Amino acid sequence: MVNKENKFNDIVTDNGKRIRRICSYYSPNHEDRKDMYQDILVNIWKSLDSFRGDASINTWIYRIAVNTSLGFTGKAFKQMQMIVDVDTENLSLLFDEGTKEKLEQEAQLNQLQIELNQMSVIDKSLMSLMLEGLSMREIADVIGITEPNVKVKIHRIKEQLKSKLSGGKHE
Amino acid sequence: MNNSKISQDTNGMGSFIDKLKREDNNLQKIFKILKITYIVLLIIYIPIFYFEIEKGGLFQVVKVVFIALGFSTFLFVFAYAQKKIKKISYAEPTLILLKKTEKRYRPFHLLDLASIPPILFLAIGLGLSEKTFLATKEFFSSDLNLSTYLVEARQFLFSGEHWFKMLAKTVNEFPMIIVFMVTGMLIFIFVISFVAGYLLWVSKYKPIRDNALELIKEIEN
Repeated sequence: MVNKENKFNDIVTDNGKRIRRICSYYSPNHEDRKDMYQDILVNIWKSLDSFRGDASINTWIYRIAVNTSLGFTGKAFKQMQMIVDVDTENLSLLFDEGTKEKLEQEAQLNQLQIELNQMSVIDKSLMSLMLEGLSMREIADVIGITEPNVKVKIHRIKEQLKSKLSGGKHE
Repeated sequence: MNNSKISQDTNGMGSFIDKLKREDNNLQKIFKILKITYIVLLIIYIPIFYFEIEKGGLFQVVKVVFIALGFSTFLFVFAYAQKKIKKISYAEPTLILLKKTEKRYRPFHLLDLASIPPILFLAIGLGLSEKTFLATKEFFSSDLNLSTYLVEARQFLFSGEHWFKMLAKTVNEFPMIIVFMVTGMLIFIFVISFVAGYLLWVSKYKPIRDNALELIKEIEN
């Protein structure tokens, strides 16, 4: 038990910020984020015995975080919101060069926020993993689908966002 | 890192490690209580088994065998269920976890069927006596057709007449009533359990399964 406790403490120390960041994608509400963070830690604790090192610790943490967020938002997952701001790391990954500057204009960022919130829960999870800077291979490992499938899905999401932000019609 | 550091990391959520340990211990506690119950029952039943066998006769031995079989099968089903619960991990790829969730929250499982034999073994073991045996034998050798049998079983379910007969010790006049009573009672218990279980599933587990199915569809699209 002591060994498990040490291992758990190490993981929380090394990945606490990352886990908080994932929580912040899913809720603007501080209390909800706190609850989600706590749920993720509970699931890390529960899964610790089964960690054999087959996946990298990063993939392992992201799997638990995404799976917990799905379970967490399962209570009302259709209402789940995805929160980004100009400080969100890797935001430029969503768009071409120069778009980030445009996004800094408040109206554009608000529009992006609205569009992100209209995405499905799985698309939100894919976006959150992409914003975390994970490679397509890593995202595929987390979600459990093939790498080409991830590429297709992310390409589709980006195209939809681009079209909507440039004034295209909503589907 | 000590507990106070953890608390700090979890936005001051108190003794978080203690909460995690409690989570682990809760399930273990339930299994521990059930194990102790089994041990206590065994301690009670071993002398009973011994005296029953000492009495001699085929019925006593068959009774003991069925009760032992019922307990052991229950223990086996229980250990299997415990193993399955322990296997649930949030660290699996999302799609696999969702598929497992969908399976886990289906209304019917093979494991549910596995709990029927031990119930029947215990019912036979606890209810077997020369009288019940003879009544059953008479039932199977009688020319009573199925519809008459069902009418009698239904009468037992919806009227207190047979209970009254039983209480008035007039069962000797019609020994087959025992078969009807047991059948009626079993049907009643099964129907009530089925309806209660289904309502519980609809209100508590169906929404979870529906969410999982929706997410699986979305991922696989």
